[in-house]
Amino acid sequence: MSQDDAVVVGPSDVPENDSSENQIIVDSDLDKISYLPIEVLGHILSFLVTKEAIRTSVLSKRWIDNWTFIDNIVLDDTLLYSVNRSNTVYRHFGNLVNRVLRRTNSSIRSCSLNLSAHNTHHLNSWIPAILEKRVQNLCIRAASYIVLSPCFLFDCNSLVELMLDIDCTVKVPASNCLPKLQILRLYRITFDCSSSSAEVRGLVLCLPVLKVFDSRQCIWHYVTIEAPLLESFHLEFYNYWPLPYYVTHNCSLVIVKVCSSRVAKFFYRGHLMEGFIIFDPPLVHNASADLLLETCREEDVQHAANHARALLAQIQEVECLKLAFRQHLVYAKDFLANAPVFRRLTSLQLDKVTVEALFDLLNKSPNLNTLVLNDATTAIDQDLFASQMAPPCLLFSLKVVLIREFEPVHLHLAKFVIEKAGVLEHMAISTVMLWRRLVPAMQNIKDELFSFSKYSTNALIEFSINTND
Amino acid sequence: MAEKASPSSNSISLKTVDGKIFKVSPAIANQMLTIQPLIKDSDSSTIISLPDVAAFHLTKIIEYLEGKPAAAPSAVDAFEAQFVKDLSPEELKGLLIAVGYLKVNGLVDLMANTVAKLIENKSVEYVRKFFGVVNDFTPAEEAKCRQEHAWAFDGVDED
Repeated sequence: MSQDDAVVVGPSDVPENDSSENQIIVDSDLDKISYLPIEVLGHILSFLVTKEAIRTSVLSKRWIDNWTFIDNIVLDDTLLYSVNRSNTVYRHFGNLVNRVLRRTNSSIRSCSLNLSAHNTHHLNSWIPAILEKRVQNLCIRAASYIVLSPCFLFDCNSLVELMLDIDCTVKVPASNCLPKLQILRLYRITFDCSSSSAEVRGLVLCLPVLKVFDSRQCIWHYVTIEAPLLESFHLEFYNYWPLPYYVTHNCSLVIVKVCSSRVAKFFYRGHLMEGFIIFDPPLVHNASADLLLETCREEDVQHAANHARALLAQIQEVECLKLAFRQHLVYAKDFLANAPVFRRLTSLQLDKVTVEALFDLLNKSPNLNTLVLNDATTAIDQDLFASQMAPPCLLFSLKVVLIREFEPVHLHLAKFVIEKAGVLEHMAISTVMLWRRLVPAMQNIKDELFSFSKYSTNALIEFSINTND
Repeated sequence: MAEKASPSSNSISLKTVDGKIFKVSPAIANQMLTIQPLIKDSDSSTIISLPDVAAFHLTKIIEYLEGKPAAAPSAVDAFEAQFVKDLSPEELKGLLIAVGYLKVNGLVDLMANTVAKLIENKSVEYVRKFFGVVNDFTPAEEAKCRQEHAWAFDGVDED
């Protein structure tokens, strides 16, 4: 077969006539890699950290712009400033990002930007440009406050993972859809729904394949999360002052409605004054919930307790519950007396509860297996235990009890468990002593504890004393 | 091995730069995106020349395409680790170039990732030498370029 019949495949800049072929082959033998298709070079450089990809611009003239074809950008402007702190450097960082974003016809798979106060203002031009590149993973952290211009961030077809940690206010349309989004993390974002229909009907986020929703310190007026596949839901919200101008006093700050029947993990951190969470349908039976509830002012306690009860009613089907109270809420009167019955609850962990609240919860948890008490309670008097009937779970189901940060005032509580728990298998008490000189007194308490007669005779009881110094 | 791989009449003939002819099935050839458009029009007498691919590289490419497990990401990972394990840096580089020109499905990712690891944290001089890149900067031009990206040269390994 002659050379003419062959179909030649190769780089387009290799001439096909014989006279120059030798010359070209010699050149490309030396430096074949530089003549790879640019998308292949961009692909190789995308496996390097961005800083190293940028370094290849010094290899030869042909390489000056090769790094801008990367599809995986991770840039942190503080890295630049640690070398040289000047206005030129600030401009240089902006230029780096712009050079990648101004490439036409290219796409970016993944983009992560960490911006100091000097570069935050670029976001209004960068975010639309990044979205145009059909980005799948986007992560932006910014140091200073910015008002984001309306953009299609919450109406993007390509995003799979979105993480925004930006102190910002953003106007969004009432209805938003992210059809491919699986993970959404939003920190410090204020959704401005004034002057749009969203003020009346609320904000709707349609997230058909979302699995993780994580929102911290975000402010929204009313948001409905339509995420049928949602597995993990994390909401953190603390009071803000001053409140944004468009938040009127007669409207709730946060009403989050979660439409999913698969949520298996629910976390809540913060004040409940302004927050309502509505699960529709309620949390499924194998879920776990981890709640840390706060109140900031004593006069708000009863109000917050009402909200807490409403929240507990939403999650009464959980199997695993962690509950922590900060400040005044723990002293709310009859706070948990009207709590729902947690008929599926097998594992309960409590931080800082009063004895009343503890008994209220035990009475509402007929199938409890494991109880963990951290820094259990304050001021427990013996009479209170004398007057208490043993909750059903203590008699029939409770097998494991852990008391951490044990203090001498908890002795009556431990005694109550040892003497009343019918099927107890293991009780572990641990304490950390600040001063070694207090250890002998704790030893005495330990001895007293071991002298109580066990109702469940085979139960293993452990008591460990640790010192800080 | 590859020469006798496909006895069927519609197999594709590929000619490497060192003159060896490989007959492969259309299913294998179609995974080399660069030659895909040529396969449709070719008949049994057509020979597709690959000026940037040596016989060694094409053997490895065919080995990859024929051997890669269809399912189970863990099986693919194990197969790929085994595939690159015994290749020298020079062979990896040559294979990367071959795979880059042919745009072989899946193998571009694997080779790009493997070679990227070899130049991780290396100096410009090392990468130039490793890739065989001809430096056409004047010293002044190179200094200017390095100055522009000074921050990126922090923490580079010594050769």
